[in-house]
Amino acid sequence: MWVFRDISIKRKMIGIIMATSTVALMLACSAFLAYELVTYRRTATQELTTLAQIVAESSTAALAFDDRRSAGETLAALRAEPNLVAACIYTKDGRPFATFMRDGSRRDLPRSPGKQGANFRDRHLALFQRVVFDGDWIGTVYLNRDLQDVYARLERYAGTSLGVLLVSSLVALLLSSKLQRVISEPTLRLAEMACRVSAERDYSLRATKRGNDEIGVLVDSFNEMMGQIQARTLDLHEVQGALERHVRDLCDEIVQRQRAQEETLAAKQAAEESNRAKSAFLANMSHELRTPLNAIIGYSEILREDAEDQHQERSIADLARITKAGKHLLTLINEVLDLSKVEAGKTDLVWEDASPSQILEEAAGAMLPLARTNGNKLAVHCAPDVTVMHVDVLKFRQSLYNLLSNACKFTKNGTIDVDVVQATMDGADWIEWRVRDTGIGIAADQMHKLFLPFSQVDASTTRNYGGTGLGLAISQRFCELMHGAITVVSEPGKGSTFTIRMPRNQDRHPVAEQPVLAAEITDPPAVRERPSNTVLVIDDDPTVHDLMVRSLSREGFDVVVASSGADGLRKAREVRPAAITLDVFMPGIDGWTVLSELKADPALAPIPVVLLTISDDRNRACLLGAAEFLQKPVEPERLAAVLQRCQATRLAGPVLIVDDDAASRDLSARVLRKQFGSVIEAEDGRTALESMVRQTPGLIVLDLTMPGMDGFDFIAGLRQVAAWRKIPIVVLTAREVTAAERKRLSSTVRRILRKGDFPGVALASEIADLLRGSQPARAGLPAENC
Amino acid sequence: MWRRAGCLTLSVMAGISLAAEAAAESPVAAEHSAYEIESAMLYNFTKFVEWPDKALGESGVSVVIGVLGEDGLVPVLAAALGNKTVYGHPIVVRRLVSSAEAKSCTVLFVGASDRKEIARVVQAVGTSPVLTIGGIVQFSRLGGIIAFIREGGRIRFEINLDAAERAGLQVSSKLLRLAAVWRENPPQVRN
Repeated sequence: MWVFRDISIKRKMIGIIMATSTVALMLACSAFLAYELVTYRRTATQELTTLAQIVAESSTAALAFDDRRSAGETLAALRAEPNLVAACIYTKDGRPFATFMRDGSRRDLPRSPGKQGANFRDRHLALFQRVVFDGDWIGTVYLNRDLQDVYARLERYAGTSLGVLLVSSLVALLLSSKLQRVISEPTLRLAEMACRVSAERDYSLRATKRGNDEIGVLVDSFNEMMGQIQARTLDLHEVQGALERHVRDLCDEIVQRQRAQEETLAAKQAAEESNRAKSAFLANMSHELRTPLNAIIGYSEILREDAEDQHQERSIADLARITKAGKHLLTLINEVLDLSKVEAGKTDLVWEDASPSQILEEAAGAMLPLARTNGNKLAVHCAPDVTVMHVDVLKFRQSLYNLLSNACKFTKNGTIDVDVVQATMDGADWIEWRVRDTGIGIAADQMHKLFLPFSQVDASTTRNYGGTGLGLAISQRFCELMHGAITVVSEPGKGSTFTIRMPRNQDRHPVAEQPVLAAEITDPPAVRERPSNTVLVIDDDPTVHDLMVRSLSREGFDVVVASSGADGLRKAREVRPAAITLDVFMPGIDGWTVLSELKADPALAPIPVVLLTISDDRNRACLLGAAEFLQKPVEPERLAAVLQRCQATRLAGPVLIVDDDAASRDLSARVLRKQFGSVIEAEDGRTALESMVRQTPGLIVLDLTMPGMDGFDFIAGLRQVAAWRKIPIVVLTAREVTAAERKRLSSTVRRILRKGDFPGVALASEIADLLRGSQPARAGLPAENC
Repeated sequence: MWRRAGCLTLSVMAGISLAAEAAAESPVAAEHSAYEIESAMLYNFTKFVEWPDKALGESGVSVVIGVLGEDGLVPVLAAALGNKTVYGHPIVVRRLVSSAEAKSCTVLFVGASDRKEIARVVQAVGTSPVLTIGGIVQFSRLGGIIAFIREGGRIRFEINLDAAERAGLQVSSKLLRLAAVWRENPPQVRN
């Protein structure tokens, strides 16, 4: 069947016709032969039956009278029948009575008669016929006829049929091969056409139709289909053309865009390069400018102190001007750098949760002296429901201080109120810091310039009030970076209200590790030189002695009393107390002299001295190296607290100052020596490490930018020795410290101080505060606060 | 007696089965057996002979088979043919005492061997449709119709066709093929 399926239609049709006609003819011939066979058999049977009846009839008498001879004669007459090969007459009891054999033996005869009737066997017809006489069965006739003639005839017929079959098949073959063309030829032509179309891809070809039969319909459908394909091919070509054009355009565009992208990339790289250069320039500039300024301010302070000691009034005023000018320059530099960073988008924010009330309290403390300068009253109030703020504390504080110092500057003999409240505005919750003053106010036409850099309300302002004109601009930018804003309402002559508005629900930022004081705040300088608990009280007033002994004993101190300066110095050398309280006004050697002598003796210099006096000369006390300055009358609890803090500032070793700039190093050494006693200086990291091998310092003051081994490398080297890891390090640098550097330093450095911000003794007290574990609130403060 | 002894060798006859075996053991039995053969043949003859119309009488009327001069045969015949018919007519076997009764029979067996006696019976029958059967060869030649012939241990018979024609009887050709046929004029001899 598989083979048949794949041969050509032509052959299929011939095959079908041949098969059909041959089968039909064969069926006819077979039917004919079968009919002949049946007919011949029936005829033969009838003839033989008739013959048997005749024989039976003729042999009745012979049987009746037992005449074998006569019966034999009757049978002998059968010789005339050529096909009869055997015959026999049996008696009623089954014995052969008479027989006839043609060329055969007796054995061919049945030994006894069978059932009446004919049967065919071995091309012979055998027949038993009963002999009935007068109603009685008297015997049986047996006849056997050879059917050879019948079969010979049938074979002749079969041969003839075969001949007819062959001839007719031949004729059918001839006819079918002619006639099949009627169907196969159009089909083949159509198939050939389809093959041509598929091979040549020529869709304009059409098949020829020859008639209206099914093949004609097929041809029509084929042609119509071809028409559709032709039309679609044309469409397709058009679309393809359009597509190719489109792709070409696209490619051009892509190439152009790539070029543009490359240009953009190059521009971006150039911009980044210039940005980097700018950043590097800023960092270098800040370092190069601040380092000499630090020296100018620091030395002018020291000179002024000397001048004050020698009462050279003229020099004092001149030196004060130098200091003021230096500080102004420093402020200007700091603010220009801040503004540049903001403008360049390089300001790093350090987010943390802070307490508004604490910020406000610190601000009030820091601003009070400034407010008093102009005879202003400062009142602060924080609403109780304002509990926490998520901000960069340093930048926020800088903004707030800026507003406060402005308020203090532009108000005379008035009031400055600060209110911290919650407010809802534009559907959002805010924390508002309102700074209200009763100062000169701002004219409406000047308002718009207020937040622009370098545009103070008018030029005379700078002369009259100082300042750089950058503060508000920077504050505004800082607040905007923290998603807040600064607004202002003002009436000339009556005052202004500046409001910092910070979002209450600030998006949470990862709280930066507080780089300052992160390490071991609860374990300050550690290892005391001596766990002494003794306080030396130097006072000429015996009532004071009594009071001190009682109150300090209650706080757990041992108290040693001296009634004069000389006695105090002597006892200090003997007892080596943990702290000394010193009255300034005493007969004989006064407190200032005692203080100077104490600080001049390297052995005694580290002992913190708390000045108790009724005079208000805090600045001088600081300069002379007093740890604290308390005004009489002193509350015992406050004194105890101060003394406890003082104890913490005792160092386990000398202060190591690492700085390549000799002026800065010398300046730092002078003030720190007064505060902490001995000082070791090193001009770079390598020297510092070498000195540390000889003597382990109690504190390290480190500059970052140094030739050779710089501050970072020094810290890395220091960390190699486990014993050195606990030494507190304070970075004092003139460079701009980036957030990344801040983070690098945070694990080892307790505080990063900017050079110039803490000129002279301010550095010493800042470090002392730091060692005491209190949070120094001086960052960004005007330097005149000690 | 030789005649009856010859009968012992006879084969079985159609129509009646004969117990031919051990017939020679006693004379009575042998005699009896010869009668049985004769009565069977006698009956068979009636089947190959046609009587003229109405010679046998109305349907249901008995035909008479008479026996003259052979009394031993009568009971055997009566026993053998009592339930049989001739062309539908019941059979009555009768012993005749004189030839005068011969005309009333349909079949007459004459046991006599005397020539005069046979002639007298033939005379008595005349042209009546009586099938006369005789026990000796000469019977057919003396005017009887069928005579038994003992030939080589077998019983054959001879038929006088002229006598049969005289009696108006039609003898079947089948029977004639088995019999020796005697013609009174011209005389024919068949062996």
